[in-house]
Amino acid sequence: MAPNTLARNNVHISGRGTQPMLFGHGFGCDQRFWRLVAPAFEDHYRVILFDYVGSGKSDRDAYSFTRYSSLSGYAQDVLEICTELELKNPIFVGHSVSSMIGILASLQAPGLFQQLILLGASPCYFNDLPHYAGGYQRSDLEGLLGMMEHNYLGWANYVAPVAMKNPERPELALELEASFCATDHEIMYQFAEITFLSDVREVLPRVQTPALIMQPAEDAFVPLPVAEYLHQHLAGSQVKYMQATGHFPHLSYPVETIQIIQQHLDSL
Amino acid sequence: MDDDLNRAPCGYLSLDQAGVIWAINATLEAWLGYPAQELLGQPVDSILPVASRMLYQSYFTPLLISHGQVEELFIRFQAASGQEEPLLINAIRREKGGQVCIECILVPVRRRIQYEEEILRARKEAERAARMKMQAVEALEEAHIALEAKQAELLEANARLEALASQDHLTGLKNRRVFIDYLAFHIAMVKRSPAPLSIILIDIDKFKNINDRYGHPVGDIYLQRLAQLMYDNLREIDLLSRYGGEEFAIVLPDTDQSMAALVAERLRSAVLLADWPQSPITISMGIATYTSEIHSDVALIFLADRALYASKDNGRNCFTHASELGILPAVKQPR
Repeated sequence: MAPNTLARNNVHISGRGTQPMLFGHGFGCDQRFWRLVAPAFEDHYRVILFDYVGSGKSDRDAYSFTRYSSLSGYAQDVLEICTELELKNPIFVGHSVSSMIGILASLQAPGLFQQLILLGASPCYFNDLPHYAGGYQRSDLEGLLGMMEHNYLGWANYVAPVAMKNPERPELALELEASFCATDHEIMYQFAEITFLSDVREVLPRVQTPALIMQPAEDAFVPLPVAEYLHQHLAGSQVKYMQATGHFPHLSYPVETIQIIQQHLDSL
Repeated sequence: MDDDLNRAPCGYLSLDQAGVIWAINATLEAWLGYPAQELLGQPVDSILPVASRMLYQSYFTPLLISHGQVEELFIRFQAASGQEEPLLINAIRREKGGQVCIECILVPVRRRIQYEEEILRARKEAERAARMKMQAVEALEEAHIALEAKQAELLEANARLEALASQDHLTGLKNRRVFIDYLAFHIAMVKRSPAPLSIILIDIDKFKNINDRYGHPVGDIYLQRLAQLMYDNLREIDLLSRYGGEEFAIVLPDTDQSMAALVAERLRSAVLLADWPQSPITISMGIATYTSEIHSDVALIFLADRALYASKDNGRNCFTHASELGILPAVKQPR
């Protein structure tokens, strides 16, 4: 394990309760996306916020293109935080891709999590007709990644390798890379790739941890049938269809998001 | 809308928090080819291809929320013609009249994007080539490691074979082949630079009785103990070997006749005094010392063998030197 997981993942702990509540952010986000929701649980829970390695204010040096080439590398982050803090019975709240990261973590550490709360979750974004309608054609996702490539792997990445062809001046390449933050962009691009092209459908039947699926209305990423699919394939899961619209209900409709989580936890 | 903004050489788009189009300037409408005012009140999604809607939701929106602005985002819009229009977008999110408003400036980047795509293609090609090279190097390294492991195995097997070929399995002593090689080598040496050289042949007296009375396993123990006992009584340069069943042979470099006799006596008494598992044993020995009249290893061994038989005839538990046999002139041609 990394010597200092808490610094690596920019972990912040607050709250007056004992049971831990761990909030996982989605792609392109960081822990600040929970700022309107997480404080509501500080009275009764130990609230733990963090950034995945490569996101937010995490330690970029800890990023490994190998480890984070699949969602299980991210699940490892979650598990290492749980181990470092010796969390007992944590509740994991995951937004978007974090939902699947939570599911993978729950499989790697059976019995660790008391609950999974999955907000705007999809096990697979692309269609696999006639069995599964993820909502998108693979070509759409490739188009998306193509645009991200232009945005993330732009000029910096082109220029830096050219500069590296001057072996007598290695400082040149380093300088360029630093000033263009190429690494950050490459990280984002890889995260985008595994977020949008992962397919974790086949592990769902093995999940033992009870889950609450929170599905916003008109979520551009997750069509309603996907929530139903998740519900059917996650044993002992509940599904809650929200009034909130869009893919970021924890930001746009924090009150309803808090209420549903609260009611669910109270009912346990 | 301000007329200057309406006709500015850039696209202008204003959205509410939910992404509904509040305002769009004539320049952008003309680029996209939609009739004037048709887009007002429509969600921005309606002029975005599917992939761009995802980019809008997964990147544009979070960035606006966390940073309040988006800079130089490349995104494709859906033109009325069905074509996709590549645009660069800058956006800010701010309060306007008590409501959140998202204002965007857009610039077409058709040509730039073509160049960029070419660069990206070249980059991917280079990356693919680099990856293949790396894989080839890795495969080569693996093959190299496998080869080294095989070579090590081979060396070890050779060493094992060498040991098997030169060693007597039961006693751990060198075998007859090594004895003869060692002897031949030392004869060659003393021919070049004269030095004394002797050999001793040893035979256990009436060893058949031990085997018959106590069985071969016990006989084997006698052979092992005797080997160890003699080994302990010799120098490093001496070569003790198992010559045959209960016969042993020693090469004693730098040892003349009288010194060889001392060695033989030391061995004889050591055997006599040793503790044996069952009844005690004795040994008989024949010694031969190299002289210029003896030309070969075979002749030397022949002499020692004759001396050994003389010891047997003399009542065993003793040694005889070949010089005492009075046959030396006759053995110039032993065969």
